[in-house]
Amino acid sequence: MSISRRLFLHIGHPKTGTSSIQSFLVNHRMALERHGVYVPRAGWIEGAHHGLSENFFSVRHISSQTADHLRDLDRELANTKAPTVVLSSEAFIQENPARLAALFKPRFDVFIVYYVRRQDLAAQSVYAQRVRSGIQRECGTISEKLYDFVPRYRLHLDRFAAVFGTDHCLLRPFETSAFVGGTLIGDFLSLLSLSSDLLPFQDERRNTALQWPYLAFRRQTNLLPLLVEEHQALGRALDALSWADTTPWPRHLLSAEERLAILHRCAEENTWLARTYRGSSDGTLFRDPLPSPNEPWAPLGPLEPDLQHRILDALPAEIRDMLEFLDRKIRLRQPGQPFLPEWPSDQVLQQRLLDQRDLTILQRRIARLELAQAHSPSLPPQPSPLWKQGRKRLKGRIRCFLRR
Amino acid sequence: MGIVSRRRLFLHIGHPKTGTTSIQTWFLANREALRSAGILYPTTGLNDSAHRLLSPAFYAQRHLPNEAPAVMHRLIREIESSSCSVVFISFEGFGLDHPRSLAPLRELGEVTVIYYVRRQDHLAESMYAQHVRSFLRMEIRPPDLWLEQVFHCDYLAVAERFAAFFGADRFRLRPFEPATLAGGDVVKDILNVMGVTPPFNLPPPTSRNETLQRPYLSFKRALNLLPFLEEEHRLIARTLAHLSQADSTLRPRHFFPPETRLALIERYASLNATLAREFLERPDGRLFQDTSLDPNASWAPLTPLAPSDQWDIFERLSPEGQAILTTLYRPARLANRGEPLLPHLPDGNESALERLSNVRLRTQLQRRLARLECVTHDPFAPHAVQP
Repeated sequence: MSISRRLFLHIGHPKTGTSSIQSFLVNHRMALERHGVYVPRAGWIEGAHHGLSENFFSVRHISSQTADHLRDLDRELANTKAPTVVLSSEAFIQENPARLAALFKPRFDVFIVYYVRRQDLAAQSVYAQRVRSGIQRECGTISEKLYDFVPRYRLHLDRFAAVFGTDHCLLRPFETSAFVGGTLIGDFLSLLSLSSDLLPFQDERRNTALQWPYLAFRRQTNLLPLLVEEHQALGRALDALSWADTTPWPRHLLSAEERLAILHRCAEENTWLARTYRGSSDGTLFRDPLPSPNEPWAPLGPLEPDLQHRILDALPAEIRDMLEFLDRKIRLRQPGQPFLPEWPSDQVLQQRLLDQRDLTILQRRIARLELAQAHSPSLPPQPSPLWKQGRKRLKGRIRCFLRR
Repeated sequence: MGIVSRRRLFLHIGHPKTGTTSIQTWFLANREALRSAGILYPTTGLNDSAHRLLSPAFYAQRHLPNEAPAVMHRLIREIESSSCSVVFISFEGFGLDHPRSLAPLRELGEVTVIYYVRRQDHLAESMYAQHVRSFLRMEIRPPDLWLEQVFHCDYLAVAERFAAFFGADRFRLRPFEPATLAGGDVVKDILNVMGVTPPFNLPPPTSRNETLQRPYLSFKRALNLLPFLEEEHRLIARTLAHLSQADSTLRPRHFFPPETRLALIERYASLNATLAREFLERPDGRLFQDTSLDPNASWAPLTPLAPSDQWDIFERLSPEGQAILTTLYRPARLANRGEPLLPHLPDGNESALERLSNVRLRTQLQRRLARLECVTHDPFAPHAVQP
């Protein structure tokens, strides 16, 4: 018996407009449903179906809720008759495809949607994201471990193809020239056999990239033992400053030579991907112009003192107070002198600084919990456990019996 | 507008190990009598006897949320509602802060900053012993490594920062050496600097000698490898201090050799000269009257204690103190008399010391977390044990 219902599993890759697609899906859920495309509510956490992925919980050191979300999803899917279902989370690429297949294949014809970005651009974007992320808090420079930031598309896609079939893996280059209708959303809709004419949407690129000096500031402050909420508050403040800054800062963190070297290294993989998953006879995956030496770039090294002072002074007072409180050098900064923590070149020292930071974060969190506990009203008396109540009753009866 | 039209505020900012505890305990003990004489030692911001709660660095060192601005707000209310014309605020850790955290005090009257400085060789020995005693530091490094990695004397930076903020004419630098202190005592000296005369009937300041004698300091340094919680540490430290004070055995005073102490004097000579010229207007640049090393002062390195000495101190600890040690350290539990009781410190191996210090910190955190978890859930309660 053939399965007529289709499920599109959008698995990333990270930094290929996943947030734009996910925000479109959630904002147009009703309209999509009218056109036969169902976007489940189950597992929707932090703007995507991350709740369906164990990895999402594991990197946050919290107990997994995936089983609960999957149960909800199961119930939701049983109640919908929509011919097409879409699930989207870039966290899926860290999952075991066989587990996902066991969940969905019996009921759906499953298609894997996988956008890939040219690796030189992806590496810079992945690095910048890790600098901004509250989980990774990257402190090093991009060149230190350049190839850690270069995505390995084939590794991920082959795992999914082995389970779902090569013909069920929809590989899409993340390039404006390759998008159907010239937009990412239009391209994604075309995969669902929908025309963008049916669903009017604004092509709003969610470009939240931090500009060069703000990213450098962020990288250096990543060495401070910021609690999650403090890290987020600083991130929001830097986003606002970066967004308001109209200075034409260099866009690239890597030189044209470094970027070409990355592409050279990935050339064979890209040809293979294009031939296998896109049926391309010439093996071309990406068609945008190659990096040119004329494109402005600057490495993300330590920020000049003047820029350190300018950004710190522009931050809201409460964020500045927080940074001053956490670091003596920031508190006692002198005009013209650098004050942000610096990333050493020695690997042993690097590790020591990271260990120290993580331990201090733990100490701060525990100190807060202890403080909250000390200030909390004492707990009301708890009822005795049943065995204690039983023993009391028994003692009472014995006493009564002896008295008699 | 407060009750007093123009107050004089005195801000005593340290340096640590310059008799600050003596000053603070004297002011606290005589607070009421001083208030009657128009001198306010505010209660707001006090932790023990010092105004620690006004210092952001105090919270930062303890990983606590910064409450200093709120405490400052309450302090201002206390000062404004007082009729005293002289206010004395003291914490030796203010030097770690930027003076702007104390800026609101300027609105209340004329602020004079008082800063005592001590000869760096004396300071280094006293500070090392303090770091071994302190819960925040729990120093395990030997003195020479500590001197190389930790000791940093920044009198000039502190003085310049506070003088620039409150005004050079409102900054009083005082060398901390008995020969130059008014009345040979730091409390009398600071009262003299403030230009106030305390009531006649106040008890004289008493010297608070908290120095741990050599064997107790060695004992404490080895104990610092254990993951004490704060209250356990406090109990042990208090007992050791009592034992040390009661011990009248004569022992070498210094644990840095003369050449190290001489090197310290030389290292800071030019900094001291600048301080003397800039803040004491002494053209000869002489900050301390006494710049010589006493050739007769005895010294010996701070070596680990022999097992018999370890047992001697252990047996004089209170039963609670002994129980803390034997619970936390298995070899102490299993040791027979004459066998070592204390952890061995790998003094020659810097990385091993660092590793041990990290292990201790992690275990302390685990213990604190476990204690927090036990409040909400007792894992050993009968109903909690499930098959």
